[in-house]
Amino acid sequence: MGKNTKYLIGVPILAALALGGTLVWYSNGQNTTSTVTSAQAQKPKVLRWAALLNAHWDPIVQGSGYNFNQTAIAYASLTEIDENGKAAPGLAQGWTYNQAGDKVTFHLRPGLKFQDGEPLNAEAVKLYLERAKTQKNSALAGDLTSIGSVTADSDTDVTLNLTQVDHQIPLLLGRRVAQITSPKAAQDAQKLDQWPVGAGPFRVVEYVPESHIYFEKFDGYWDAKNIHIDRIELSAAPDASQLVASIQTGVYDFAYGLNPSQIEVAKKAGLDVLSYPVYSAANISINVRKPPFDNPKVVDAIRYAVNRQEFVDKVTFGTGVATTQPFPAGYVAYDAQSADLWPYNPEKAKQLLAEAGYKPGDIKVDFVVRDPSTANELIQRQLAAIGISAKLQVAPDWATPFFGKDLVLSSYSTTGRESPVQTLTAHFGPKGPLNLAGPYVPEGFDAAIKVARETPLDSPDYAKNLQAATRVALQGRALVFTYGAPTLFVKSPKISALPKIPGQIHLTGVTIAE
Amino acid sequence: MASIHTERETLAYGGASAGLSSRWAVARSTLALAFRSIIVFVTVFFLATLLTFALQGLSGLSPAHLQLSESATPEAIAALEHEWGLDLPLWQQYLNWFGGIVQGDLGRSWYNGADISLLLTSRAAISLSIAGLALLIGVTLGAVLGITAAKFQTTWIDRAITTFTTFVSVLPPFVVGIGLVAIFAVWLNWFPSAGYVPLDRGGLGPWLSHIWLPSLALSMEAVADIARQLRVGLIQASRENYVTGALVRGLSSERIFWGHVLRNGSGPALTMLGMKFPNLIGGAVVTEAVFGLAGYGRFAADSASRGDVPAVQGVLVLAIVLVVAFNLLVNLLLVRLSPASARGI
Repeated sequence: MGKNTKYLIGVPILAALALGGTLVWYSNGQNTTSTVTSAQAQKPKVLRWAALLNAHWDPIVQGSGYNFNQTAIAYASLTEIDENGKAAPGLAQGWTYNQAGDKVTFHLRPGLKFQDGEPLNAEAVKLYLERAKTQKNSALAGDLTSIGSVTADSDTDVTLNLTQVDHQIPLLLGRRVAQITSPKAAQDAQKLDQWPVGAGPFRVVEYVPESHIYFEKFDGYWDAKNIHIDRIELSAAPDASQLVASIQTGVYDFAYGLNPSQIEVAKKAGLDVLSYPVYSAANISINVRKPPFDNPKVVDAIRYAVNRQEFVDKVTFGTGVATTQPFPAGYVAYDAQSADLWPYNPEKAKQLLAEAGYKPGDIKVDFVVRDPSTANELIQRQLAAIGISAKLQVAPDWATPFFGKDLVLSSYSTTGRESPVQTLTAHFGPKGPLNLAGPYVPEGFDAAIKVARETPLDSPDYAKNLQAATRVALQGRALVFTYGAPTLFVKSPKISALPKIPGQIHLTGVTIAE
Repeated sequence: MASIHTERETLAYGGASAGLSSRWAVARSTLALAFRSIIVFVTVFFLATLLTFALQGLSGLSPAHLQLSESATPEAIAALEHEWGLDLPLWQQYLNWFGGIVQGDLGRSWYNGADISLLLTSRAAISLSIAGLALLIGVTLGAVLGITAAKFQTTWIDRAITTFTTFVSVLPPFVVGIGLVAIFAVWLNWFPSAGYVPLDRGGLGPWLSHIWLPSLALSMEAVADIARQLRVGLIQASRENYVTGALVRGLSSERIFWGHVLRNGSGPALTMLGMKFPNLIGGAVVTEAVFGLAGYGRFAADSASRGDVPAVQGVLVLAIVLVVAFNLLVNLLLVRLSPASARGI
């Protein structure tokens, strides 16, 4: 028998032995595991959370998408919102506007500290806001146009000098836009983006990008007494089809963004599925500056062509709602008078196209979108039903032409804003990022939004003025809203229910049972 | 080639120094082989990185849409591209990039700005654990099945093994993965259904229990391929004339099989193994997604779908190194097993 042949036989045999040993050893290991479990009674309370991990941990770079909920683990924000969407104290325990409404002073809690020991004072808030306005890769600069300059009046008082009368600032400077970063850590913005340093409920202890990030409780957080979790292990989620299995088997405890198709599976597995409201809606974005949509009749045809119930049934599996506005019904800015201005009527849509001089099949447009979702396929099909041929194209570099206002037809779904005025300007304003037809604005929008912006949040006219602005905005032809889908949380029953703050994930008061 | 050298030099230096000179000759031929291998490696590496870099130009992608989202105004995009050096001429960008690679610097990800070399290093443990165990399972099971099938060729055992390997090789990885989770994690509750615990964190037990199911799912194709290649190779080798000759000389069939047939018939299986390992490391996209593992496969797939060009280039550079290195390694092994195969390199 040759030397090499011996290896050839020897290696597999050794391997087989190792493998067999492994299995035997593992079956012994099972017992060890159960011993460990009984010892866990004294162990810290750990929340194992599965998610699509943030790319950025500097809130200024992360921007205002839904993932600000992950940065909020490490950072505390100037203000908060309550379950009804009203502004509430955060790092600032209160705020005062001047008589004119163009200056607002936030009063910070005294003695606040960042996780690196730096004081969280008026100067730190000032530096944060200035950085958010000027840093080259800031994804928040567009949200802060109302803020002119910032002055630190004392250790705890910071005054914002506004560029216009704007009573929405306390809503604006919540978790989405004002998660305050440590000024010392922010000196190296690139490092901060990979290692968050804030004053939030948890401080980071370990991070491997796109794999996991671990946090431990930070006792210096202003509301630390209401945080009952000692450690958060946030890991990259498995494939959507396996999310339920991984929570069911105890690998993770909690996840958001459950695919609606998995609701039944999750419930059958004994997990809790919670539906959380969001201030957002999906839309069809139409560039009315470009043909054929510069003809109002063609836009009207699309308005009548949309069968919203089909989106609710097929995209959200019945969990969502049909909507014609960027807000859910019942919200302060929701305008009941505009509830159903263009009810689904494909016959009327076809007739309008005929009046505009188009025969079925005459209109062929590029429908360029971010992802190949069911919703986009539905839009394509519903337009085809009235004779508009929309060529669906998924573009990896979609954002450049979309935000550059170069596309003719697209779709978008924002996660909403805490400030309803900001939601409206983002969608309908001349520079609104979600206004594909910008600088086109609905007639009378600028005047109406000015009135709403200048109305104090506690004024009896606040709701009326907001709704008037919504009403004017919805006459605009550049956006057709389709449906709103709630965020679906799935969790192990041992995790108590989370506070129902719209569009946000709060761990305040959440407990973990053994 | 090696044997010819040996013979010549033995003749030239005479019988007394035969042992020494033949060893010298072997060393020299091995060195020559290593030198040729390095030339092959460098050439392939250079050409492949050139092609890899061209991807960026061809894709027309930019980091702007990944970083700026709703703030991606044309001015902001231009500023960001300048920051990333994307306004330089293409050849200069390539030189900068290649200069980084040879120093182990693969650049920064457009998606999260993280150092790509670090991202890949942090994934190495996961990918190597899973691919390594999958390879171990593949080689062990594959060898056992292949040898058994060849020993009992044309019997029902052979047919059963062939049926099994055919069935296993056509199963899509997500079916295997989801099936294993359903049985071993959800139903029997033996292994965790997802995640990874590093060796230095939880010790051998948790580490092994986390990588066992994904490795098993990943190994299926390797088991089937190795078994089939080995079976065919062994059957072919056993029909050679020298086997008949050895039988006539009275050697036992056991000795012929283990001593000669196996040595000569395992070449194809070994060659396939060389291609398999890089495949196991980089091609585990679906398996990694099913088991929620942050390995190379998923990293490559996610980066590609996000349009994160530097990250994709980084993975490709790693893949080039792995593929070329493993092919050379297998070639060297083959030369040790049957010197005639050195002619190929």
